[in-house]
Amino acid sequence: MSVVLFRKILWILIAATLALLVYLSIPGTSIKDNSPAPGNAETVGPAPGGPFSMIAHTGETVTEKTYAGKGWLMFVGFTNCPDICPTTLAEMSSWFDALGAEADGLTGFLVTVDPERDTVDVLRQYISSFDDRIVALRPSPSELANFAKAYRIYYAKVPTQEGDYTMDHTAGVLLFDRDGKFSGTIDREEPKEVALQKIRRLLDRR
Amino acid sequence: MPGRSSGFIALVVTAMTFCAAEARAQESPRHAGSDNTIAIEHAEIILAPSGAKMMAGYLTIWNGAQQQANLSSVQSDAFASVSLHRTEIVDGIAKLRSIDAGLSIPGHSELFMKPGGVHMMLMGPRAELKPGDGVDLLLKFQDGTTASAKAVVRPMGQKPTDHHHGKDDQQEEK
Repeated sequence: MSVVLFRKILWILIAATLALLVYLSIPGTSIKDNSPAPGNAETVGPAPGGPFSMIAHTGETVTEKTYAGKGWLMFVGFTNCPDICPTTLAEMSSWFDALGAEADGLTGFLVTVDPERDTVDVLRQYISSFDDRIVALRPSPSELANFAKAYRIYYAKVPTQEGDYTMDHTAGVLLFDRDGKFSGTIDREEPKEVALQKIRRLLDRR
Repeated sequence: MPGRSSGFIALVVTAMTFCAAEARAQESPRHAGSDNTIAIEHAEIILAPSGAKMMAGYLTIWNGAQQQANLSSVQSDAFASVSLHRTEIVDGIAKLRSIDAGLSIPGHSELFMKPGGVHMMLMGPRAELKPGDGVDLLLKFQDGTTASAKAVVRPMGQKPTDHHHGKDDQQEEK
């Protein structure tokens, strides 16, 4: 091999390495799959879901059977949450808006993880700010524990310095198809189009 | 030596692309204000859902100075209390934590508040607020300096202005 050829190959290698570095350093070029995940593949153990019994913001006792045959969008949160709870519920409202009549086969839920402070009255007033296809549910503390286990929801009470408390909770929206089967999640950062795509796919599942 | 020069050109082009990408990253926080000062921008308060006890507020602070700025608190006569909080999302779990030690903003950097991140929690409005209202905020820094800003009240559910350039810039739907 001649020295010239060797140098040429060396230069090409350097250029290729630099080009790769540039490619990786520009934000947004990393390989990322934005397409909606079909269902949840990595669930270990029983899939989320099952029976529940809670008080809806309307005052009536409801169960999973009350909403049978509908697709579900389930969010857990609490009303003393200024940042992501209203943001997520407003987003959920915007999905209902965008889908219009298509979303009539869909029910949204806010399940409070803070039944202590979120009484039915508090929930009724709070949920009135969102699409009326979103229902607020108040479990009793023991129901909440069962529900969290069955639906694989995380929640925890965390004391604050002022002698008050806040709640840690699962952040995403859980999807259930018309048969009550867990069908994945919509995460906070996902663009609206992706969320709508997932919901349409959810409603088509039977 | 055509082989060598073409290889060299490839390297130069690659290096230039690299530099351009770097420069873009450097200049991204563009601000109208003077370069040596603190600039408060996009101060916004989002109205809360009905009956909710707290509202969230967001703003960006551009620290144009060389040295770090340390934000200790935000105050407003329009509210009984304003506190700094951070939502951390760890493994899909949202955790709301108060920021008691203040926030440090390195020189020539921006503090960018957003849902799911650092935000202001505003409680006990002195008067009913409606979209479009202006609310005076006073930002206090550890060195004793202050900066004032007027926050615009936005309707419930509206996303605060996403200040970062590129993606989401026109995300002002609804």
